[in-house]
Amino acid sequence: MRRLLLLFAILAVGCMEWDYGLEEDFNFEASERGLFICNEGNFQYGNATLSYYNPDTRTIENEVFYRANAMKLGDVAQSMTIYDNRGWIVVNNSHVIFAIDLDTFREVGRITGLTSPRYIHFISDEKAYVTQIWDNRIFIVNPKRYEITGYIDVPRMTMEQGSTEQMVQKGKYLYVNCWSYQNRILKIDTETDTIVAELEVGIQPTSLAMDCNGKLWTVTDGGYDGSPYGYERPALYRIDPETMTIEAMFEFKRGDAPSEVQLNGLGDTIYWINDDIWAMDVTATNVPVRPFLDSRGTIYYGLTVDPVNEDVYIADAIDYTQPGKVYRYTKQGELVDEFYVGIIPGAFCWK
Amino acid sequence: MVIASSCNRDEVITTQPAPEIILEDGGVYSVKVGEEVRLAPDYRNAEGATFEWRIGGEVVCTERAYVHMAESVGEIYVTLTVANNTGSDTEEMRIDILDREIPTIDIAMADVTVAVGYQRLIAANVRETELETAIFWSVNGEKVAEGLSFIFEAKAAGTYVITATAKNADGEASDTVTITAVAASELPFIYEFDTTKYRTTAGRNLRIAPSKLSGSEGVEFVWELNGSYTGDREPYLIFNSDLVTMHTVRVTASKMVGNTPMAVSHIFTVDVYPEGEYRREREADSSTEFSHIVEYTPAPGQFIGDLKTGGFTGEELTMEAAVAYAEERLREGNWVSLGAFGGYLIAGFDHSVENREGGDIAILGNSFDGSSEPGIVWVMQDENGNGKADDTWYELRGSEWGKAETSLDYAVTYYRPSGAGMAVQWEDNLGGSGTVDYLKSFHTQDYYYPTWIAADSYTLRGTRLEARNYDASGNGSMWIQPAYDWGYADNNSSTDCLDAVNSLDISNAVDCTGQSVELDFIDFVKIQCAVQAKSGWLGELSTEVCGISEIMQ
Repeated sequence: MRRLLLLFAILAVGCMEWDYGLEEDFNFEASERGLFICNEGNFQYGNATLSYYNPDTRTIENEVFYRANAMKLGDVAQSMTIYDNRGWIVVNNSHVIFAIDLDTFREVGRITGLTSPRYIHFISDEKAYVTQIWDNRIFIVNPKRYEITGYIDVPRMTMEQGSTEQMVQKGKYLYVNCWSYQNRILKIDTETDTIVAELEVGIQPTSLAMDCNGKLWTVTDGGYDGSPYGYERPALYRIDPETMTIEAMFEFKRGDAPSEVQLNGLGDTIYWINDDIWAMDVTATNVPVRPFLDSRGTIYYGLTVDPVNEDVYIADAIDYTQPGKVYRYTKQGELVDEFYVGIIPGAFCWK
Repeated sequence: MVIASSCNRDEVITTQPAPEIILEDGGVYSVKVGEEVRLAPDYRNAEGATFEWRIGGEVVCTERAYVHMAESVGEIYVTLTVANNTGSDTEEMRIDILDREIPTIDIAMADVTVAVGYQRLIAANVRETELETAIFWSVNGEKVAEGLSFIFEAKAAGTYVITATAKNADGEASDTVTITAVAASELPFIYEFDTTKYRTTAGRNLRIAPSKLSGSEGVEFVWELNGSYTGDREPYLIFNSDLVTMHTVRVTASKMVGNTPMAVSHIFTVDVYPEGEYRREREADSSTEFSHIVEYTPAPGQFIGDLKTGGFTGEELTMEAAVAYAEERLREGNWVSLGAFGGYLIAGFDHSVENREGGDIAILGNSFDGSSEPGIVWVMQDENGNGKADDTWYELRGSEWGKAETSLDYAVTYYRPSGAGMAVQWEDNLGGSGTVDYLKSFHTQDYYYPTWIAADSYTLRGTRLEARNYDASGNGSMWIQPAYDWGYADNNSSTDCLDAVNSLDISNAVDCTGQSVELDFIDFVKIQCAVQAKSGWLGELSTEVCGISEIMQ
């Protein structure tokens, strides 16, 4: 719902104005651990920003893209992926993917000409896939040359209701959830760039992850009351990617809007947002009785788990208007840090 | 968790297994409020074991199964410990106590007296539940129709009690409206005014018009000004005087009912002030920002009362609290929503804002390409100098002014829903009706009807622009709200909007007769949502205001 919500989400202008005019020199150790936070900003307001957090020193740097490049990041920073010591930031409504140096945050290149990109996934040094919304194609790009080299057409998908979203790879197969006005998981052969199988799940699978047993997890949001695409109880699914069959399904209450399936570094515990933050063993037969962390009555919008020490980070969009906040908890649920970032923090990316 | 140990009994070493709890459905139980739920897990090795069920630390049961009476909505955690000599097992369970989904139903219509032969579609507004719900209509106790609406016709004189009922497995609810039908000649004559005190400036047109008028067929209207007949024969009067004093206006409406003459009279006072008498000049420390919010009366809407994204606390139960909310939001540069058509916000300045060349008032909205939700801007001079916005409003003409599709004196009455989670029904003065939909997935406050409006219905009046929103996708997923040419707030105009700020010119002020009126300055600004439209799942169009200031060139 996030992107569509923003169509009418209301925005305040009068936000902070940075007026550096100069490129700031960052130089972070290449070996240092770090967490990037994509702050989407308000749709159509061009106020997306990038934040950088050092989990060891507990320091946060905001607006690092602007400060390093003396250039705004753009409109709706949707996600970031690291490959080959470069950060690839997908800026949805600016139709661009920026590549930055991970130590200086300086731009080293960009891929343009994208429709409405959401995520980038690297197949090799010379090939990556870019998913889109409001487009029925997954774009194939050459990240070395920053060029679009082809498309994978998704069958039975119109441009208007087009949505391909998160990507997870196992061997030569890539799995993609189709979210907005969709209900499918795609299986793509990355050698031939063709869709070889599809699996229908519930209404609007929001996210995708793979656990230590090689099983796929997705959670649907169930649509919304009055949606032309339907409205049902959302559910969490465990899927066998080999056979593309549903192994387990955990239903939620109608009206719930779960999202953001994430795994810890070991891949044995799954986390997701459903107003509260929930955690569950990947072999569990039931959703636990109590959430991992209770809601604060605000809008939990992003979630990640430190792959090393399993700390849980939650992005709170608060009200979609003011700068959002990130809360850091231990695996045991103790709050260890909290810090302000940019407007509508959504996606995280571990360095 | 199972703790096993061995024990030595009668010198024979045996191992008695510890008990185990086997939960069904993961230990989550669901029940409706007022009902009982039975928690009966399976056990292993539980012969002779003790059972201890606790809620919040207190033991509530020591049997194998626990029956809980669900008293109020919420979640209850129950901990069960089963123990024998060898060990024990403990599990936590949750009982989700859900509200009973008794339907709610509204007929958005006031009791009314009509002429025989009157026909109308009467619609009910029902809160959707997960249960199958039947809706039916009865007139004077007799079932006449099923479904969300039916066409009523008053075939003969008499009283018709119309009841709409919604019924599902959890319960039922109904709403009633009474329609009285009389012969056309006997229709009651209604001629009401909102105020008896008017103010204006010398030489300017002022309209004295009723807020309610019906059954006026055959009624004669006679107007007197300071004791002399004016010759006007309409139900309203355009007053204009150069004489700076208090004038007395009287209207008498008369009608023959049978052989009996019936008359209704209203007396008004009109204070006429000299122009510019109370102008407050700008001083060195005057602010270009608005100085205070005078009134915040939105129409119902999805952001009205919203605790999460709307910034409401739920404690806005008076106009003062609503004004404080709006003032604080605007000071932070945050948006204030005006709800559906007619909702408005009035702001004042610490000095009179001069009418300069070009734009004079800047209104920050949240429009962008494809998302314009126009608000009409009205201005007022503090003609009597009392510091209150109780003088004459002048509309600032925009690009749609004077067009056939623009409706002047459009009025919408909104009705408070009878239950939480329901759409707000409305009726307009052109025979139209509709709802401000409840968007459960996005805005979950109980009511979209402003909490600080005490009355169960209220009427908002103003100028309505033609709605231009459309669904670009053809399937309801992508709605576009195009911009209007110029002259509105929260409108992504190509001529008067920059970075969501619209620039409004006081020189566009028009009076109640549509003539331009020259205002050298103004003291108050009113922004009013000017469209009555819905964009599918996005809900109603609603002007948002994020800031109001004076433009100093």
